[in-house]
Amino acid sequence: MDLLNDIKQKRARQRQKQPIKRDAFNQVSWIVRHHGLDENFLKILDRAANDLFEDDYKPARVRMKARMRSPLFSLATHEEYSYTMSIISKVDNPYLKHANSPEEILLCRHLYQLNPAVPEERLMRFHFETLVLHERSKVNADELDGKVLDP
Amino acid sequence: MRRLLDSELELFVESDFIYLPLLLDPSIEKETQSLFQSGSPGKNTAQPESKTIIKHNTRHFVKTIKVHSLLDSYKAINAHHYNRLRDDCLRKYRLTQGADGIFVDETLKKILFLILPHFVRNNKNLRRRKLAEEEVLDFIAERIDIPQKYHEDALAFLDLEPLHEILRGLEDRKPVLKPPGEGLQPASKLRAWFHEAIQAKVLADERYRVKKALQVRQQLSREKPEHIAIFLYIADMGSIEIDGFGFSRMKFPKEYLIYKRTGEYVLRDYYGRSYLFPDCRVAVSTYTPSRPFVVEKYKHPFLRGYQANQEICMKAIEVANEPTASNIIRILEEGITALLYGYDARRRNGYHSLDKTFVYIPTIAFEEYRI
Repeated sequence: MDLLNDIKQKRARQRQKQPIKRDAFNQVSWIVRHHGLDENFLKILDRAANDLFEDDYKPARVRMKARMRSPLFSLATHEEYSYTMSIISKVDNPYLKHANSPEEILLCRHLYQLNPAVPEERLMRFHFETLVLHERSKVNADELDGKVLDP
Repeated sequence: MRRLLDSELELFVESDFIYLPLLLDPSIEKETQSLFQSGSPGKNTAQPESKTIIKHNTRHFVKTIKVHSLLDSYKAINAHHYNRLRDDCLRKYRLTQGADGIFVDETLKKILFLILPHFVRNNKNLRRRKLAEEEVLDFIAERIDIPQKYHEDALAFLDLEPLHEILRGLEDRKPVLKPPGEGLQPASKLRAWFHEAIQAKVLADERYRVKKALQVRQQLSREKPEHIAIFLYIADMGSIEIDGFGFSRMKFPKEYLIYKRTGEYVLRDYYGRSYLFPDCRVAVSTYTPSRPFVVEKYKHPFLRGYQANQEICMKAIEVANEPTASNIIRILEEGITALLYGYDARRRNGYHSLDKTFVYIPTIAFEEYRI
């Protein structure tokens, strides 16, 4: 009887609809095609890792994420595929699947460095620029606190 | 498929198959790599000579469709585009149904050579003697300004060599077109080949028509190009009009609407007042030549309402229901006579009276025609 119930439960679980999860490849591939990204973007991405964020971002209005309708499945041409895979390998962090634009791809790595545990709801809701500013302000505040406490 | 051929993609052709650039995602790439590592990149057991995926300079191409299957089934796949290509091809060789069919259209000949001379005979150029067909055509050529395009078409029409060549090719059972070049090529090149192949196929399918067209044109070889141009003009435009007499082709094949204009005319009412009626076309159809009717939106005591295509109220005409030239002439003349001379002011015959009466409820008024 237990075995029968077990089988029934297993089958019921199998029949349940599995929600499609966001996938970094589909997202990045769509951005590559939609914005026509090429090697130049890869160069910018390399540079972004080194010196793009040396200057402080000025405080700005809170930016919400633009609503995009990216496809659930994406097939890429040979070139698009190679650019997509290069971006994924260069950025290589779980925030990438929430990027909606080239700008967010550039900010993605920096955001992850600042805080690797940003909740998923925030990543889906706010533009990465806002999140970066938020995380940086937190870091600055901590530094200031440290200075005050030190003497 | 048409969108692919119209694209700027590079396609690969091998073993009569079109290979398209393989679209990738990580799982497809993994699968492709494993196929190539195993050394059998998707060999098809049904067609061992062609591979499912081929590699060319680091790019992968996937097998899609057989070129000749596409060619054979294109009529069913994209009927609209096929018909366009077919029409273009037939037009190129002046093989359209209308162009050749018009020379064997007996109804048209009847209109041109028997009915038209009757209605335009008062012209000084046309005497009462019966005119030969050539004279009628000369007269039409004088009176109608045929565009230059049709004169050029007529010369091309009389050039039989292209048709002879097609027919010789078909009878020798030569391959209709050599297969497309193999290897990597732009879609535009394959598209150009495909269009040529469709045209060659159309000509092969239309062998009977080519033969018939050749026979017709051989018979016409002694005709003047100006006369041929008239027929081509009629085939294209569907209508001509000379001195108020004209005809226009109907939707049915080889059926025409023949008409004669009345010109302006005057009728008088009971009190002797005059009414000037505008010009209208009294017409009869060769499809059912029973009663004449007025083409335009028109009002007259002998017409029931004020609308287009109304039959004229008149006594029954005793003619056989056959579209012979004499029947059509008689019906048209009876119709015109009824409109111009049939109304009797004293009897106020017809559906309506020109002057207002208190006996009938007036539905159509003619005051605005009064002069």
